[in-house]
Amino acid sequence: MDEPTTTRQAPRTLTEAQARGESPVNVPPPVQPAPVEPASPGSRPNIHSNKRIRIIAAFLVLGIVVSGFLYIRSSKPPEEVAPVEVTPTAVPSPTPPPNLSRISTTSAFRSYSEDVASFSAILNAFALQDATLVPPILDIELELKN
Amino acid sequence: MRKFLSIVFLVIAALTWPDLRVQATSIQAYQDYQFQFDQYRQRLADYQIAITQYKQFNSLASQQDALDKVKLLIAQRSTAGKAYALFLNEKLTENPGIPANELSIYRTILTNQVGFLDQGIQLAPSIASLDDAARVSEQFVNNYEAMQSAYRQTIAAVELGYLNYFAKRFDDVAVKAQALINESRSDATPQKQAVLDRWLLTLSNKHILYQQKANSIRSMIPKINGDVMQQDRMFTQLQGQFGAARQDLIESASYLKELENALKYD
Repeated sequence: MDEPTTTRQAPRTLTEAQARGESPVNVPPPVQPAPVEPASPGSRPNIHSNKRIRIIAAFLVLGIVVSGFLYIRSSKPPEEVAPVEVTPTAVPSPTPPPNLSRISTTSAFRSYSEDVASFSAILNAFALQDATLVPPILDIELELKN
Repeated sequence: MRKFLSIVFLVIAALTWPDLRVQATSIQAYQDYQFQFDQYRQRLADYQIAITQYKQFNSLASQQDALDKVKLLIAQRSTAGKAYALFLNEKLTENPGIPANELSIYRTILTNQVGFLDQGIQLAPSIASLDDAARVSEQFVNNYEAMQSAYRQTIAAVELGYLNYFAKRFDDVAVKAQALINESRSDATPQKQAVLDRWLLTLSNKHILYQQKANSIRSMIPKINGDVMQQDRMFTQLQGQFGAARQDLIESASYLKELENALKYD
């Protein structure tokens, strides 16, 4: 809220009064009546305070309701969950491992597996282009003739 | 103490294990070549300074200096070329896949080159003038293409030898696969038998493809000759074929793995 503005005349200074031969008396400024503010159409203090009270009341009611609900819920004993009956399935995983063949247990098959692994390993490790296999360039022009 | 024991073990292993010994020889030969090539570059730099000074001042002293430097250069150039030929000879020795007849051909090619380069090394000290040096150098120049051709042909033969070795190993594994398939016929369902037979056919086809490429490479190797640029073109072309042949072998290895899985389960 803005304060009412008052216009005051500044008192004359002592040196001016003395210069004119007057006695330096402090004259109190004339009191002017406070300016009357024009009544604006939107400013209704009573309606504002009512609204506030309603909002605070609504919050209070909501808080009471929520805290009451929480209190009732916490004081209630937990419901017992009925145990789910698990029926055992014949296939434990969706992708069952295939059955091993008779031949997979033989020593010949194991030897074959080792050979395949060894062959793949040496083939992948082998670098065909050996850095040492680059023929030397020996400058052949000696430019002996003038 | 532990360090000492490990060193003793390594020495014994190196002496008793033939593969390691062969590898060490090849590495040693390459190191020797590198040293000789470094020496050659040094001699070349020295010679270039000396010949520039001789051309500039035309004095007797500068002429003598140029002569001394060119003698050293000619000898060192042949030595570097010889060192590389000896290194390739070691690579041939340690290669597990070159047939004996081809091995003897490439050894002969290299031996001829070493003999020629030895002559150059022996002639170098007896060079008495810059004209003499020019004549001796001309012999080297005339032989240069043949020497480069010998190098490139031998390198290609070494690379083909490695591929042959892998192909031989593939054949051995494929024979085992065939035996296992025959053994499993009594147990396998007709569907499984059909799957196994298809894998076997795929393997056989891949092997044929590899063999065709290897034969093509073998026939191209002796054609690496002519001027050095032409040799390089052919050599690069061969490298492409080597890569394709190796890819066939890699795919064959993956088929062998698939066959293994097919055999493993009912």
